[in-house]
Amino acid sequence: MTDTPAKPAAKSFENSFSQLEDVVRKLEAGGLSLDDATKLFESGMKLATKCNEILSSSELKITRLQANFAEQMNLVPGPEDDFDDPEDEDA
Amino acid sequence: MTGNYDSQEDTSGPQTAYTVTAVSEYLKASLESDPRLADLTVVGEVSGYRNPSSGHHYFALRDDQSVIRCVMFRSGRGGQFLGDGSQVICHGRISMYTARGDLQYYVDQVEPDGVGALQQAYEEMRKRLEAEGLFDQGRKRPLPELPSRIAVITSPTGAVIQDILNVLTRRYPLAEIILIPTSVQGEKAAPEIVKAFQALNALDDIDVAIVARGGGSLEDLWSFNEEIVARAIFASNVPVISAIGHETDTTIADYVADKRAPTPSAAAEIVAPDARDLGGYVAGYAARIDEIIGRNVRDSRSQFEMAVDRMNLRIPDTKLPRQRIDDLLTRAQLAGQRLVESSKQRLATVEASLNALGPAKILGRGYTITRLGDGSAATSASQFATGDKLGVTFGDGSVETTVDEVESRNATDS
Repeated sequence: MTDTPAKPAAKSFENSFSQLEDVVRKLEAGGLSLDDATKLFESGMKLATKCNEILSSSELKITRLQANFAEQMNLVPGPEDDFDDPEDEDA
Repeated sequence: MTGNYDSQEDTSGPQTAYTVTAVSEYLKASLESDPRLADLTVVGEVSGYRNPSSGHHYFALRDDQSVIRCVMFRSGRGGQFLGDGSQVICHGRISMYTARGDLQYYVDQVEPDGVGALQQAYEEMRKRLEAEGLFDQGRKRPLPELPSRIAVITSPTGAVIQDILNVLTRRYPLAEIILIPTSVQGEKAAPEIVKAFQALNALDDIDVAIVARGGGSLEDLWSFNEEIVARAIFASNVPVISAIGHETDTTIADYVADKRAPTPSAAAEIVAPDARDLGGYVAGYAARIDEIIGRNVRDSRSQFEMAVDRMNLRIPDTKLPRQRIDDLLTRAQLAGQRLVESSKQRLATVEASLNALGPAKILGRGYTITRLGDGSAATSASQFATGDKLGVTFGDGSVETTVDEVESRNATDS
């Protein structure tokens, strides 16, 4: 639990995806010069590529709440519980 | 007694008479020697219940055809479940109460009969929590669209967690799963589930939680009907998806949860979108952008073309200034013509004046024209030399003479 590294892929996907939505909204609203529209188009295509990369390269991260974490919080029931089983079962 | 009786068995003499006690003791021993009757569980409805000051419980168990007389001594467990009409499961042994000649069921433990009693308690609590507002639709929180961190409260072993992880690995590998292990069955389960929810609330950045358990009997699932579990789910900081048992099982936990899933796998499908769908949305947006930019280019081109068209259309609009120009030109022409006319008139006037001032009239006023020998008009004295012929014309005639002397005023001309 404590050694959780960088933020999960969902966050970066969400960022890129909402930016992409923003680009689409701006383009749909219209009223842009051809030059501005072209720039938006280019950034939108980059965002779409980034989104696809995140989707295709992500792997599910699994973290098991450790007994010691819960113990510190005085939350853990007795030691006879199957909490303390070795990790090999939750692949 | 046995010995006595056996020894008489083969004789044809009059039968020995046994005492009541002897027969009663024989029956009692026979009953007690049967192991099945010594460790017996019986289900039935309680009737004729008495609980005198001795603290023992006297009652009968019955079904629609038969009755068994029962007693449970003060030391027995579950006496609170006894009462006329209640459906119970008893454990004990069958024996004889010889003082009364009664066959009796000596009960040591009473439990409420599964479905009936549990269902009753369940309904009672469900109504109470409902009245308290724990199930209100209005407090159901929306699930996050793209969860980053998903807590899963379930047993760390077994099929449920595997099913959930399998589904998420396949559909939504963008998230981090935080497994909060707990037992999900038995007496310890409810307090452990409560602690798991407390641990959940102590964690940061969790977007949504799944509490799950595989299928089982009503008793197996009972922890999820406990009030403390219901209140723990209610107190969760994040939306909770419940997936307890099979689709047909509905527990109190399911009523309190923000969203109920029919199975643990379904919970994993509900908690997040399918990455393939997300890819589809991305592709859709890319196509939309492409379409818009294509349209923009076409629009720009057609705007240009329209501008050209408008210019062409505007040329007839210049009719008006052109008419004015034509008008002006016409007027200028007329003015010019008038100018020419007036000039001609003035010219004629000048001509007339000139005529009026003609040489004939001048000659009449004393001027003469001096002519060279060839008759042309002389304009300079230097045109003459001594002895040359010289003519003089008057207004009314002429004189011919000869030059006697030439005197030039300008020496250089000579």
